[in-house]
Amino acid sequence: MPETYLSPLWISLRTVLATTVITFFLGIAAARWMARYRGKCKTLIDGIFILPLVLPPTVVGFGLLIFFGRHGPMGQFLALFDTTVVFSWPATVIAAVVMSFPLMYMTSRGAFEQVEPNIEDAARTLGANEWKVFWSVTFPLAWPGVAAATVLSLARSLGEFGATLMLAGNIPGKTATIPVAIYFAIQAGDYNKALVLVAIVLIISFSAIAAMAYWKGRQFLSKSIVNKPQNFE
Amino acid sequence: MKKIMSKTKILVSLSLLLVWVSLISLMGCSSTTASTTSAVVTTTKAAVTTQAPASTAATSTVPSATTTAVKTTTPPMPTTTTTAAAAVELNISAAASLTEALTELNALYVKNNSNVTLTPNFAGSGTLQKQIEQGSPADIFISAGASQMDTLAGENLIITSSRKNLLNNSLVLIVPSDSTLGLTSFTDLTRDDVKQIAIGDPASVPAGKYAQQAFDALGITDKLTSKYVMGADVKAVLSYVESGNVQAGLVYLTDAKASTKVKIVATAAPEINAKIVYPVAVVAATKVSDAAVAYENFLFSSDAKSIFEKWGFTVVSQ
Amino acid sequence: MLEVKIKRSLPGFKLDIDFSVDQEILAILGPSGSGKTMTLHCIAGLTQPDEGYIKLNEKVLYDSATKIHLSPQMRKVGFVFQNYALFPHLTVQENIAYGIAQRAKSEIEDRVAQLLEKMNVRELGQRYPRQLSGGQQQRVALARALAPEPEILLLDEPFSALDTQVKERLELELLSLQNFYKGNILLVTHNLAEGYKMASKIAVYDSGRIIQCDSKQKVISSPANHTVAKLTGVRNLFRGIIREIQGKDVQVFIPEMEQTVRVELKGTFHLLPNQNVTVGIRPEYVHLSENPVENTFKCIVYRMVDGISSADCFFYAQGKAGSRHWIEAILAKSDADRICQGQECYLHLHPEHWTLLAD
Repeated sequence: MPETYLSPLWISLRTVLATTVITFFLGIAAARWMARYRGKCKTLIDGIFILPLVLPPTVVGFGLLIFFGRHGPMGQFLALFDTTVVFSWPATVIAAVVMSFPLMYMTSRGAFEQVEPNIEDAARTLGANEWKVFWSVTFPLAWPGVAAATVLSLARSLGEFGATLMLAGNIPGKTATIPVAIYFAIQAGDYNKALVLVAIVLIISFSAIAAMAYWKGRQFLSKSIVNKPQNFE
Repeated sequence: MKKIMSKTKILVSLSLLLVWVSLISLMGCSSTTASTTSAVVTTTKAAVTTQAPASTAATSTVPSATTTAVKTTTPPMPTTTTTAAAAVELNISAAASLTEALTELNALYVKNNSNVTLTPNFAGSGTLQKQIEQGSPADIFISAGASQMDTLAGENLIITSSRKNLLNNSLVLIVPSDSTLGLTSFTDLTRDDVKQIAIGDPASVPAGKYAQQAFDALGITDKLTSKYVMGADVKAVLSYVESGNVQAGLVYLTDAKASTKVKIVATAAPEINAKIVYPVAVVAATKVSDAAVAYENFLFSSDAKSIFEKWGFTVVSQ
Repeated sequence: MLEVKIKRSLPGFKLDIDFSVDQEILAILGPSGSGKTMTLHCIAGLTQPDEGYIKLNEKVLYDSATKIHLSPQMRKVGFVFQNYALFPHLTVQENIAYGIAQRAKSEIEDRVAQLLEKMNVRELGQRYPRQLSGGQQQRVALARALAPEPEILLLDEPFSALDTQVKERLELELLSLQNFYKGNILLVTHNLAEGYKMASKIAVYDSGRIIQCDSKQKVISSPANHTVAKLTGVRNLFRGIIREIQGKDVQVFIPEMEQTVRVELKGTFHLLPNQNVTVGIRPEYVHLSENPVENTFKCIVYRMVDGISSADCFFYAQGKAGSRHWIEAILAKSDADRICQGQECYLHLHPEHWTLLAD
């Protein structure tokens, strides 16, 4: 009996962990690039990155299904290696990454843009190459915002349902994440199962919100000191 | 630091309160009684019956002559015509597998009963049953399985005297029309090159339950469980197979016939098929029981029968 | 030695400058938006000009002809930003050590200690920038820029965010910095007095161009044109016609006042009689006079603004056809007390104090 709860929990944990790792690096890379990008297509690229946030998850799921499906470009490419992504566990990760990426990207980018360009320029004049500028100056200063972004996207990927159901389907023991399991439990009238799973999700989500509140409180460290000195002279 | 601590405290207590409230409300929903549902139903029904009778009264006199003239060429229908009838809206909750057949039937019904507006709601039978339990404004319920109807009967949510078995269907094994696997029977599903099989979720979709029973009867369930991809209704299962993302699926004969992208490779044993009965009943909370009964009678008419059979159903003889 | 000759165009703005600095402090003076900061950014490599070249001590930093554009990391330029741009998440010591982090540990420690000492912030090594006062942050920013021994020091309005007392102290400290740092220093400011105090040479900017680049004395005594004159505080300007030239003395007829004044020239001019010139005099050099003698205008007091130690007074002289010509004077309190609004009086403008601008 407990395995009906443990199975979705275990699948969700694995999915969320994989998703958060991928989204973390992808999101930061995209945010760093776009924060400094001055080209003509800036609005267009930005729009593409944020699109999954604005579209209904079923629309995104449908698009993913067409892309990865048997007749889709990616599906046909993967078929050459005798693999398929649709209705498999990696599909839960793909769907969750696509849906949570915009949050990670947007929030991180905001954090990077808040770092004063003068501070980064100062690092450059002191001999730091672009990597060193990023890791020793930009990232530490943007860290509270990036941490908040990570937590936000983690929570989002935990609750991802529409696109997951379309791309990964409901395969108990393989792709049935907690939200999918909740949906089908309610369909089947098994309210007890649904409630237990709902409680688990609520606990994790509220912990995430509390963590975010904590990181926001530490935001002051990232602001540079402009005309705000205490007069100790 | 102190400020952050108290902020978190408030946040935590608010969230606990929220959790408690949602748990209570969810508990309350799971033990619905007829009284609560009818209370909900009355409020939703209030919006429905607002058609002005004046307009129909004016038109009813003129076409009655012409409609009777037209009617002489077709076999007499047991349904009543629009003589001085008020405008009525009927909500029909029907199993997803009835989509094509009912759509055609409804068009015919509305043509002959212009004062009636039919609003169908197609979904998995389990979903429809839940909706009726929660007070959705359905007047007629056609289920793809007896258990959903039994549950509603046990909760006094249907008019028992109106419950009749309407249709039979059969369960078939389908594959994508370009499949090269050469499956010919249910037991072929145990082959290694069959990686994924789509069935309805047995917990809520009758077709899924029948599929499981079919597998149980053949003793192959254990080998197949890991291959299941579960759909929320039989149409979802059909579309999984059509897309080619699964190698095979179990749907009703009527669903397979409605699609051009799948081919039928096997039929379930007659013992299984005999159980696939579609009961119909009038929902107890209906406000337009006369119109609902009239519609139900239409479903048993010979016009309706030919349409049902066209789509692959077998009509239960009365 | 720094040589800069660059052009850069932006929508609505064009930078076109040419100057050099050799073992001295150059003040870049001009109003906001005139291209001063852009110049510093181009020298530091943070911005790329459209064309031209920048050479520092025989090393080519930028050359559009040979497509050279060294990154800021390679230029050995020390930059102190207007708001200091200290790293908020590092201590003072870590800030100063940032540019020399690749050296040996002991060497880093020595250098940091030396700079902390030199900039009078010895005890602040472990503090974070947010715990420092404005003046302390300034010093740390300087120390950080000096740590890698840059070949040139660029200061972008270093004193603008400080209050007067702190500013005056730091100005002195910066001057004594020359004993310690031997490279060129470029100082951007919009404050003439500050630039004059700190630098030996002044480059006056206006809308992306340098309108005069000379020793500070020459800029003050012989401004190149109206704009420089106004920027350097010569607020009383008159159009005039040369009547007579006698060696260093020139008689200039000012049509508006219908008077001739005697002007003692400083520097060499090639003047001809009847040439149109502009003459100007600073408010500080306009004095009250008892009676009309040479170089005196009859004026009426328009307004007086009381200062702490002096009064800023505005007069007007009645000119031709009812026109008014304004004269501003900064008078000592004792003098200002002797006059009141609307009163008629005489203003004396000594021949030595005039500035002549050839048109």
